[in-house]
Amino acid sequence: MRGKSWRDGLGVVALIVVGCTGDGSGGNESFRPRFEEIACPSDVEIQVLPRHSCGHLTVLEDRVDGNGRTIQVFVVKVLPPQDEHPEDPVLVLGGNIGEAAEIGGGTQVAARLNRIAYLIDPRGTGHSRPRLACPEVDALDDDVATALASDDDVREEFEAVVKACHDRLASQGVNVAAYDTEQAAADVEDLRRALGIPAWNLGSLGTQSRILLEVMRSYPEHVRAVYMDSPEFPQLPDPEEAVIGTHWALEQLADACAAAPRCRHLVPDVTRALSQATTRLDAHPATFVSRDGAIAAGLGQPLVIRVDGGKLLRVVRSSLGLTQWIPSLPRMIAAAAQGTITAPAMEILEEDPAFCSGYRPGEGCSGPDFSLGVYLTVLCRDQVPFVDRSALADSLRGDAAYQAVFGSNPYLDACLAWDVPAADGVMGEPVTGDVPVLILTGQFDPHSPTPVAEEAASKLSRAYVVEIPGQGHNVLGTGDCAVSIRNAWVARPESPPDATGCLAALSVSFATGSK
Amino acid sequence: MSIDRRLREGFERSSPAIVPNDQAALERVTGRARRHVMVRRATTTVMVAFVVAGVALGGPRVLDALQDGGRLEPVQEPTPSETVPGDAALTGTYSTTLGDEDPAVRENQMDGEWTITFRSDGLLEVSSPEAFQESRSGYSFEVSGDQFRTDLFRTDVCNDMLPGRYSWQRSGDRLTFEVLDEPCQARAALFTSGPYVTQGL
Repeated sequence: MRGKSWRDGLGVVALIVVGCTGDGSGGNESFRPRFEEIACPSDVEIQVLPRHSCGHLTVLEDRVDGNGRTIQVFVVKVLPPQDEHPEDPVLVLGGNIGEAAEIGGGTQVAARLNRIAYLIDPRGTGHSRPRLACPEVDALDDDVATALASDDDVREEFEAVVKACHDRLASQGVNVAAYDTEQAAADVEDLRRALGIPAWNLGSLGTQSRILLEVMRSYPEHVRAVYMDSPEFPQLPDPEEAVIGTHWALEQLADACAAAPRCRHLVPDVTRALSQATTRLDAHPATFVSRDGAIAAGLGQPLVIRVDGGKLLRVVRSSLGLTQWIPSLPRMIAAAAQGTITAPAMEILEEDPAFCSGYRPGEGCSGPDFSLGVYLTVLCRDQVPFVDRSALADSLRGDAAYQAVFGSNPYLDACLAWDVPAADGVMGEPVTGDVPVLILTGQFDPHSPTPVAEEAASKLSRAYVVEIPGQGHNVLGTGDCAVSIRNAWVARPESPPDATGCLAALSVSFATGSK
Repeated sequence: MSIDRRLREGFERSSPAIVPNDQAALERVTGRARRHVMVRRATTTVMVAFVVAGVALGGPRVLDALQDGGRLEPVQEPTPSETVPGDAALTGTYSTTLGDEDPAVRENQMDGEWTITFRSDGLLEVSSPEAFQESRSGYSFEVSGDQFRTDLFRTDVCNDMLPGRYSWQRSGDRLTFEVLDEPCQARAALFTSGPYVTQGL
């Protein structure tokens, strides 16, 4: 029997100090980021089976204008099974902005790439300290669930609780503006230097691609290769991409349904059916009673959930991102056009934290793994200042549901309450360079539309885009094909991905039965 | 032309081929989606149970950690775990054939022959029926006495679920498992539906 080799972990030396200047610390020469090994938290021990260890990196909260306050970034190191492996490790940012690392689901990357893998909770999230959670906003879940999308009052309530969260964190000494993309990228570079890694590979799952892209922009010389699953890019702020991505994904769905005879018979025109559904629901909102949903269960009483066109649109966008829901979407839209809210939509609505589904990808919008404060800082500082309001208004195409959800986007108002200054203009510009990049997208993902990825890839000299058929957001988490393509490419990143034969076997099979 | 403009004006898309409907496959997918919500709730319950057990067994140190949001204080010498990746008594290659009686097997198209190699380095090598298209690589197991834990299918059909815990017994050329804690029905079906037979070391 062989014990876990802790001394193969984060290092025999528990305290490592960065010994050079000109690092991710932004030139602040009076401070040296330091790395300490710590015992892994209990939730990590429960989830991670391969040999691993944990630590935290101490960095400046604000590298430019700070007062010396330090924060900690949590890191898990996972060893590959084989002792012989390439020297360049991989760092994985395993989630969307505001989310902690997907620790249990990220550990397999060490074995799959035969490399040491580092998983980090970006500053402000998960086990990193401080954590910028907003329980004030969680308290609004039932109000948002029962309100219509067109309800201005609930948006005002949202703005108020966002402000309350901001003010509480500020009163605790937290510089909320420092939890932005640029500083998170500098944390990554500080970690590389603290661990003495000459060069490494970077991976992201979801919208934390923004952090990786900033690393590529600022510290490209230490990056061997980058893969991104379902990424966002700095040149397209999320409030604009939400509309563009939803239109694109719905067209993808309409095309796929039209190409499948039984689906075409059920819903001849998906986009037209959705328009009929939202119009009908705006005129006559549907209601249902939630007894078992998370929000009702938390309250200990049933909730009457109301659904108008905007709420349906949010459910549709959310479902397009969730691969398991895509097959039932045409049927759900067809039912809604008849005024009926079917089970999949009901399940999303009765589980949905305040203004989550349809705005933010994934299923983890609340709880200990999500920090709304980080999400808001990245949104309000690095994206909203670069929104083209005129283009956004045009993109709504006069559709009332789009106007309610994306034109009156509650996060745009929330950014008035989340008082952070705009980032430098460069944060809204495309990343260029010659680092090899593999971008994986899902055929129906409204959060990371393939054409946007292709446009972003055109700015990079060695970037490749692979769209995975039948998939929504997070293609590495659904099926073996994307994983195989990624694994083979990381071994030879100087070449285009060549293990794409599995794509031909993938497709979507729509649910057209009565259930 | 900007992304925004190109997309608004209608861009060319390469639409992948869509295969004809397959009712069985779609029922599998929709069934899994419904189960996914229930499993998330179950997983939360199991996680709470683990934490409660940890507090009971780990005493004040674990309690302090939980009160601090789950973060333990830095220590110089972490205590090694008693469990180990891989185990000589289990190392080897085993096969079994799954019938389709179990709903989880049907939903995930898992019926057919499975071969699992338990490697000495703690890695599982899994060969599945062709219809099962989920990821099979990179998963681990660890052994502690007669108990066995694995994160098999953690990134796919057991998404967001904790590792499963089993007791195991090897008798002659046969290897059997019994569930102790297992939030994932598909994984439980794979390990408990029938005895595994040794294919060699």
